[in-house]
Amino acid sequence: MTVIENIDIKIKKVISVLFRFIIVIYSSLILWKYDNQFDWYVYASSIVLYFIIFRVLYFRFGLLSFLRLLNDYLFILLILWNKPIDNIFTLSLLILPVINSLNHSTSLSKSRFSVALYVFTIGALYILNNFIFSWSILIAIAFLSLINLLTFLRTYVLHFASNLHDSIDKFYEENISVFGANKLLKNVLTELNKDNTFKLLFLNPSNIIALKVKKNKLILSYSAKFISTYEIIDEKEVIRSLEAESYLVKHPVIINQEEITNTIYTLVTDDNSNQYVYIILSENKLLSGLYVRKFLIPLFSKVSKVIEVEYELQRERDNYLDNIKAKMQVVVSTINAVHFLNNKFTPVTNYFSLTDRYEKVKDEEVRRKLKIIIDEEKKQATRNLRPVLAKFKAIRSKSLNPYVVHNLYEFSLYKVFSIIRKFWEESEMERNSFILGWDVEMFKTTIKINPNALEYVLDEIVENIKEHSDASYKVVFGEKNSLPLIIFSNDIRNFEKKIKELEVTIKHFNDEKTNEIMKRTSYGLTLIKLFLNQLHINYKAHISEKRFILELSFNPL
Amino acid sequence: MKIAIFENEYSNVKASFDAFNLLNFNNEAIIKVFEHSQSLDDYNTLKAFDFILIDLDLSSTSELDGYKIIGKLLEIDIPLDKLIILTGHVNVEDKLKENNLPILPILEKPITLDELENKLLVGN
Repeated sequence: MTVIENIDIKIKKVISVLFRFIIVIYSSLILWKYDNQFDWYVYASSIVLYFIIFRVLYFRFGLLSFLRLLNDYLFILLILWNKPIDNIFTLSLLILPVINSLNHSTSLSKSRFSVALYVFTIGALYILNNFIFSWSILIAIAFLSLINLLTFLRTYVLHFASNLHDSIDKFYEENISVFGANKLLKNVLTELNKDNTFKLLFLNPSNIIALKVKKNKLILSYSAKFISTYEIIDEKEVIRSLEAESYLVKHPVIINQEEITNTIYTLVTDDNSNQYVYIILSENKLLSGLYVRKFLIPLFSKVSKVIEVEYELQRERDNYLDNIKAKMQVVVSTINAVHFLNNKFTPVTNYFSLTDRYEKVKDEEVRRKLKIIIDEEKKQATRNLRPVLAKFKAIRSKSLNPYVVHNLYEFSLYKVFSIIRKFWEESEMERNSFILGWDVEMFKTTIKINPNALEYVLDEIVENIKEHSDASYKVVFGEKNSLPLIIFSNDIRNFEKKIKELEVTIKHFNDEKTNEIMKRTSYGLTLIKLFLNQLHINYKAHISEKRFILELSFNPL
Repeated sequence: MKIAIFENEYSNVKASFDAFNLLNFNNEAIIKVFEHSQSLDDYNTLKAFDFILIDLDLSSTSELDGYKIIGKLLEIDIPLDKLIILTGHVNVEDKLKENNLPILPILEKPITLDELENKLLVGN
């Protein structure tokens, strides 16, 4: 329940009690002014009974709220019985509940336009008017109800908007962690579908999709419901048209291989000129344009801000990752440097060791021969000093070992797929390079993974593709022995030239243990391997039809 | 004495071996150096050697690294006590275990004549 709804309910509770006091006080004035049909104790006990019944039915909803209304009218009937109702003094008591109707609490959170109220009013009027309809009073009540209807519409729309915006608060209450803006859209979708009062006017979308505009392209940020594949026809034209109109209907979108034409597109631009296109999968209804502009664009602006914050965090994380990568290289080069120094220092230490020994040797001939060795070693030691000093400079920087994946988390393949797709598009790779062979059941499979480490692996894969491919690449989400399998494949630039070297690299890569030689020749693949091993993802690389194929298979929980 | 050495930067350790040969074997020991794993066609010829020293890294042009060479030597039943690792790395024991190899004596770089004599002569 929203904050405003909560306050509204509390006020209604107080007004409900005050209203009954007003009725009783007003009734007492009528009883005092007119001759009464019954004895005073009848009226006195009816007031007590009226309050008792009201107390029992206080703030009850549904049918009991009608009984409460009936209680009001029975009391009013008793007070006005056999009194003239052709003057404003008595008539006002009869229409007090109509005037108060918007405070009426038939349901917990919403104001409803109550038909029963008018039935009771007209019924009571009919009875009190000796079972004759008084047209002039009826017309007055009808106009009063019209004014009530307008006020009702205003409060209804206010409530609706408040609920919609509250779905964003709800998101923050429920999600302390970031990277879950899909839940935010889900909340909005639920809220939009909650109410069917104005079916003809309000949208009841089946999904809402948020896409970031990046270099005249639309990149999926989040959707309220999961989508595996999507294609927007004439992206550029859509963006251009939305920039002019901010609203576009019935432009087709292909979602999960199905073309959908019941769509409404809208564009939201934030203060920093970040643009988001929202696709609402819904029929276009009367006043949809107004609805989208007045309700949804302000709402989507808020959603975009959440998404933008997530992008900002993502960028931070990427920077961090780059930072880590640089550190990794430092670690590797430091290890190599230490090894290098050990080698280069050998002649230095050996020179001293041999000089010591020389002193102990008595045989002149041996001394002469040893002297030659020592002199040669002295030259070698001098030669080695220069590269040693250069290397010392290079190993001054120290670093942590960033290879270790500390935590693995449980995720469904939905998440894995989303990470890969998002990474793919963020890296400006072609969207149509995805081939999806996973069904719903497969998507539900859970595995243990560390998203950061997975992104690192993807980063290396994408870099390899960009470096070695002529832009023909594919990602296939398939299965092998009912286990999920992801196959990355790409063509190889200068295939004939590179094949030998690549075959060696693949041989090392597929080897269970990380080979010392590989560490020096294929830095990227070595790290992919280090991470895949820790993520417990099985891997295999091979060449097929002049293409480099990398298969990753997962072990479901 | 016959010694085989897999080492791609022999110039850095050459003096130690030369002095070792001069002082202990009057230059009559045979010291054979292999720069790559593929520098040797038939590994069985190594059976005639008293010691085989293996540098773990070798150059990137070597088909096999030191661990793989040790694996290959064990495959052809070369006795464990003939094998000595030559390395500048630490934690070599862990790496040996990781590669399913037995723990072997290690000659740490930078090597000296004394250490060389300790490993190759003591107990011989």
